[in-house]
Amino acid sequence: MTYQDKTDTTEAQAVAAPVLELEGITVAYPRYGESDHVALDAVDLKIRRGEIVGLVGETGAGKTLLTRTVMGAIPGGGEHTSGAMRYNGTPFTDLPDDKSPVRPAKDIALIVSNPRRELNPVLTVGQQIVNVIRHHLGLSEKEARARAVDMLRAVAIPDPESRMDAWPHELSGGMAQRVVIAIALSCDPGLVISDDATSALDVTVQLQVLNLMKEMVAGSETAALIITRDIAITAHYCDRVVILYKGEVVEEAPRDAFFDRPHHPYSINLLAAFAHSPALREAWWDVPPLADGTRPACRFADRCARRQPRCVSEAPALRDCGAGRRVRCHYPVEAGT
Amino acid sequence: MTLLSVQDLVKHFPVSGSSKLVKALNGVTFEIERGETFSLVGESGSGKTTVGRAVVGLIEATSGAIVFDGKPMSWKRNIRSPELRGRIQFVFQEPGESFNPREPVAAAMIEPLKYLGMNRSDRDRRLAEVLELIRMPMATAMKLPDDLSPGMLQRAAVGRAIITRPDLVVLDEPTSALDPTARAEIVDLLISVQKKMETAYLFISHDLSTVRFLTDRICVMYLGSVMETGPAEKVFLDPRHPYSVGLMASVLLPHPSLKTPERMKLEGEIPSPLDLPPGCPLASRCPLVEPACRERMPLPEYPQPKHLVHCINHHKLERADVVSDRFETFHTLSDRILRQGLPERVA
Ligand SMILES: Nc1ncnc2c1ncn2[C@@H]1O[C@H](COP(=O)(O)OP(=O)(O)O)[C@@H](O)[C@H]1O
Ligand code: SF4
Ligand code: SF4
Ligand SMILES: [Mg+2]
Repeated sequence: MTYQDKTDTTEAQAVAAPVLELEGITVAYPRYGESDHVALDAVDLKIRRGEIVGLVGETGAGKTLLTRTVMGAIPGGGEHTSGAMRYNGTPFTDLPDDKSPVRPAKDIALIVSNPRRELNPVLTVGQQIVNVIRHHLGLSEKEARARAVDMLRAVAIPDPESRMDAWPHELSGGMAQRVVIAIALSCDPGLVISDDATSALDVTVQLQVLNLMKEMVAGSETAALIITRDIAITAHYCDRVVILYKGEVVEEAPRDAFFDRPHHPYSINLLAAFAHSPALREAWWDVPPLADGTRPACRFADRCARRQPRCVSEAPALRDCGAGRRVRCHYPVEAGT
Repeated sequence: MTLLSVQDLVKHFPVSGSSKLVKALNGVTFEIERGETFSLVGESGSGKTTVGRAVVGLIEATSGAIVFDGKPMSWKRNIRSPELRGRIQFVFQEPGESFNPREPVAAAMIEPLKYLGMNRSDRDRRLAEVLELIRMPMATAMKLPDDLSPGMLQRAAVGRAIITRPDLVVLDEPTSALDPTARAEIVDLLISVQKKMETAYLFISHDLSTVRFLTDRICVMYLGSVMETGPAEKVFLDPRHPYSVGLMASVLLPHPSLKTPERMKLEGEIPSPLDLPPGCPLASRCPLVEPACRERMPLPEYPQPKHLVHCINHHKLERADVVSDRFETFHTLSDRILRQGLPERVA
């Protein structure tokens, strides 16, 4: 079933190299006298031109760590221990230098949830956009200014010429987020990553900003990765949904198929958090505890209502189910089960 | 029976270094019945928190009255005076706020009982009761706040609030800082606590999806004024204020078939509460605005019994043909989808 006009993927786009391709990304934090804490475990992700992918997980799932890895800034002593990253087919590493063919800051634009922290308080809005444009595109001051005004207009900031001289503290939260988006998109990035970018905004403004991002992506042939705790956003703005749990992809599926029939028990538990049925939640969430000291092979086993003995001894692999779906589970919920 | 009545509440904050005023509340009126859940909704800056803080006596209103259990609150009769102690409790947005980082959470949970002059063994008995109600093992309650997850800590904050068996709990965005799973657990907890204790809730939230199913009556606020008040099912099914319609239409529900309606899309953002122009506060964003709206604040009207609206055009929004709201539709749909695959043990 198709519920909404999604971004159409032509066949030519489908065969071209993905804008971003992550293959087996593993990031570990060494622990003294213990085995490493694997914060991201063999994460695969492909995003094609014109596509919007939603990455959903709760706090600690590894969403922000994944973006930081892509942007080349793994925090707090974590090590990128294996895996490959490619941008339009060109490999890049998490230590980009000037000679690198891929420059994350230009080619991949990141928008985060606190727009005010992204803006420099002692520079006007205009100066900040102009600096970024000049740095990455090498335009003259005058050309950069003209482009900056165009960008502010494109993100629906009223009276953009005079807003160029505004200070960040003079902007509302919604306006500041629009400015950050204008900066992010000003250098024609191939990929926009939104890491919880709309979570701090009011619902009415959130909708305006999401619509804006969707239009900009559609109009400029960029791709986008929307990272969020709010799975409702992905139901309306994404083509594909990827669910992350404790550093692993547990389910990936085309949007409509995902919401009509989630397969992984964690996907269902998460969706039940948004439903309005305490009874349903209790049925899925109230799970007998594992025996003391058990370290189950499936990372979700301690919370899983479908758990069987095999789940404790054998780790499930991310299995291809056809029709663009992958699921990491021995006993997924499939049609008729 | 009316438990709390807020009457024409006004709160103006002075702006430092200027003669201007932040007009946070401009005559807010509503009542809460015993044992009911009453929700205040609206975008940030609409004045919800200010109402809650005035009710628990953390700020003093500029004018207006707050009447609790038949008698007005005042500097002499506040939530700390002997007559009212423990009867109005509160839970805030940040789970950590109610706890001392150096004390086990259980110590903070029994603290309200000390003010009631309860002896040690009664306090311990009450604590055990509450821990059972909030389903928290004693061992967890003996931990320091930093060692609990935000969801567990908020659970303890709810426990701390209900330990005095209050008549009213003011909850200001108690779930906004939490992950979806922890948020749903707190909502389910609040529902089960209310079933057992018959506590009334003043629930302050911008999460309409939660409010829809938790609430008996809802009050929609905008720029320090009430736009619409009424029974939750009525207001969600047939909202009569352009702001309520726009706000509800902006909520994203987690299924692709439940698109956001195009009706009354609100453009722009909530304006600054400094120097508010006269008339309807929504005039700068309202698709139905006309000159009369800017002249004076629209008078209260009752399109249906117990359903109050401040809008001169409320009749234009009537929709007699609608039988269920989007939230209800989502409820039915998600129930059907998520029931698939439940193990037989519980199905
Ligand atoms: N202590 C204060 N001093 C000055 N202005 C305040 C103070 N508290 C709240 N306000 C202002 O009052 C208005 C209403 O705020 P608030 O009650 O916090 O709204 P809400 O809870 O609906 O987001 C806002 O513009 C806010 O900035
Ligand atoms: S592998 Fe087993 S425990 Fe893990 S999610 Fe699937 S059913 Fe549940
Ligand atoms: S009174 Fe006028 S401006 Fe206010 S909500 Fe109604 S139509 Fe809109
Ligand atoms: Mg507030």
